[in-house]
Amino acid sequence: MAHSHSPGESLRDYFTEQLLGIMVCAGLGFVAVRMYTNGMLNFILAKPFHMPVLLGGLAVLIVIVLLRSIAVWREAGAFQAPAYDGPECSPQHVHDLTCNHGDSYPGQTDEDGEHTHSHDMTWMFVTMLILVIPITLFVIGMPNSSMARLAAIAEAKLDGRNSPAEESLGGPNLKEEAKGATVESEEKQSDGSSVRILKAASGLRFRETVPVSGEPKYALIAGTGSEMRFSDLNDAAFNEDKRKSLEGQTAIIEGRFKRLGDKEFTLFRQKRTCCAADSVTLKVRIVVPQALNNINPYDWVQAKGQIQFIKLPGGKAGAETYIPVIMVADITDVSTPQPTNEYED
Amino acid sequence: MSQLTPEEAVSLFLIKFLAILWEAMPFIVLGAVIAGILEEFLPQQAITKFLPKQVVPAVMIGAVLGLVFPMCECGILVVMRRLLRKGLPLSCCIAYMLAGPIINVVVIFSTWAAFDGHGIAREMVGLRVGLGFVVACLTALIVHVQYLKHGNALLTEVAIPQAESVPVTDIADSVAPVKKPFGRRLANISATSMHDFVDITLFLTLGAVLAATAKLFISTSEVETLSKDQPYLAIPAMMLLSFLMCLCSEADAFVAASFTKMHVSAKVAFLVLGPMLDIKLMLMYTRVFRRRLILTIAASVVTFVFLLSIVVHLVYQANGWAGVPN
Repeated sequence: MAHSHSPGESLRDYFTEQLLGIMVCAGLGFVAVRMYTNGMLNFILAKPFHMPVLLGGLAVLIVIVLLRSIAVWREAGAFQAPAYDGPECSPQHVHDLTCNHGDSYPGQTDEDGEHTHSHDMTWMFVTMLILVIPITLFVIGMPNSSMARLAAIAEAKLDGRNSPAEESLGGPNLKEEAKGATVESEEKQSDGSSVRILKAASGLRFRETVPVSGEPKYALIAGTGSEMRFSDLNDAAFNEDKRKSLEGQTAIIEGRFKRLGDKEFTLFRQKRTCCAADSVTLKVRIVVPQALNNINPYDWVQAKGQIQFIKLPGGKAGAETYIPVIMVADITDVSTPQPTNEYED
Repeated sequence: MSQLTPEEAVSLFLIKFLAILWEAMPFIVLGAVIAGILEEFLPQQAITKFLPKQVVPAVMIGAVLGLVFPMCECGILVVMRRLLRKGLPLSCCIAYMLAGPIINVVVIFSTWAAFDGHGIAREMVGLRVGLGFVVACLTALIVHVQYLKHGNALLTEVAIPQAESVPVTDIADSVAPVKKPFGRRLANISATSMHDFVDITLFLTLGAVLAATAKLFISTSEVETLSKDQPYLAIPAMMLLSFLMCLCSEADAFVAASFTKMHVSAKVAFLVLGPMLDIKLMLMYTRVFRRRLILTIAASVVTFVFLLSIVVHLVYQANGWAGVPN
């Protein structure tokens, strides 16, 4: 270590340490800048933390690597002028006042014939080996998207472990909902049936078809909506006003698939604040009108439907738990696109 | 649910490891560069002139120094070590190091933002800052008493206050010891920066490995289930979790907020202990303190956080406050 540099420590140890330090720092600085430019940081850090990594990398390259290289170059030159031949301090050089290293200059061995590396030097080599780990991982292409996918699945598995099984909620009872619903429009069909668009107190919009004879039929209406965040839906579940304002709106969400029943599944997604270490698994329940078969566990799924917040059974009065649910009108509103970002930042 | 496959476990480990490492890296660089500049330009003992002579007020100033010099817990250690070398009293340094990552504008704001949606932002920020301040000051005073007894034997060689300013590159100084041109100063700054960066990043890397390993065996939902309806188990469970997870103090409030059904007291325990003590910090502390002092700090921080969180819980109970968001 430079700080505990004692007069007895060899010059070669000093220069070896400096050069290895410069090399490792150059590697780390380069990896930081490169991960910023090629988008690899997306797999581990949230967006606001990308810029610090770039600046950190540049700072390492300029303040540490560049300045230190120049300084070490000049130091070496000062000892070895005019023939600078690298950090190697040649054994033939003349000792003078500027050269204050001890007996263990290069090429010389101590009495046992062993090379005199100080204890610090072993430590230094271990340090360098450990610091090379992140550089090596970068060189072999890590982190990458398949790693992020597997990690997200692992996280969801860990989260689900030992927690009570999630109960199926079932689809909405539209016949019940129709009772207190407001009629938005009504029209007679040519075959004598009537079609009404209803909006229930829960915010659900659906179509009621009353045939000439027989029971009325109900179907949810597929609206248009934009992509919503898992965190917004989960946060809104805590607040009655927010629940009310969101219910009935159409949302599109994307996440990984976990089946609960043939007409019900959970989408989960990792939300991170700063980095993958603080990621939290968020879930949204999806209820579909028909059985859904061709989706495998952990597939990336997009679903569109009307937002509902459903009270979980149990829970003390005043402390009920609501979960966000997407009521899908038609099974074609569930698709399996290419995943965009494993994390929701 | 099914067990993790080896690929999933390795991926989770590597993602966590790299995330912790690269998130902290820029802040360590920042700390190292500031350390280099302090080492080169801050005159020995200059900083002590602005401090009160009495220990208690000095410690209290140290604890709120983060408001002026905001640093997160990774960077603060590097800066603190240089301030220590420059003659800032150890007790003050400890107070700054422990409270700085909590009592600064960025963290106060992020804590507010995390709990705002749950309607408990005000009490969480207040409790976090309050408890952080008290724990940091008490620990600093205990360290002060110990320092009076043991002196510099508590510190590693790098951190021991210098009688006179000995530059890092004494080897280079022997070449031109008389005056310091600008290039010489830059060389010295870069030497200190590189030394501190390499030194602390090493322990950050080791800490990240341990934290990523721990992550394979615990999950936040398990802790939540475990401590449900058992507040006195919830507090130590959350403390253990914050020790294992090694979160940045800017981010941990969002994780704490995700424990929706957990009592405020357990969340505060998580938020106060985390920035003061976790796996990576323990390893990084070894570059500044000797084992006796690390144990003192750890024991003191854990004890005070636990006791004060229990007090918070009892106060909530006595007043009939819910303590969970509704």
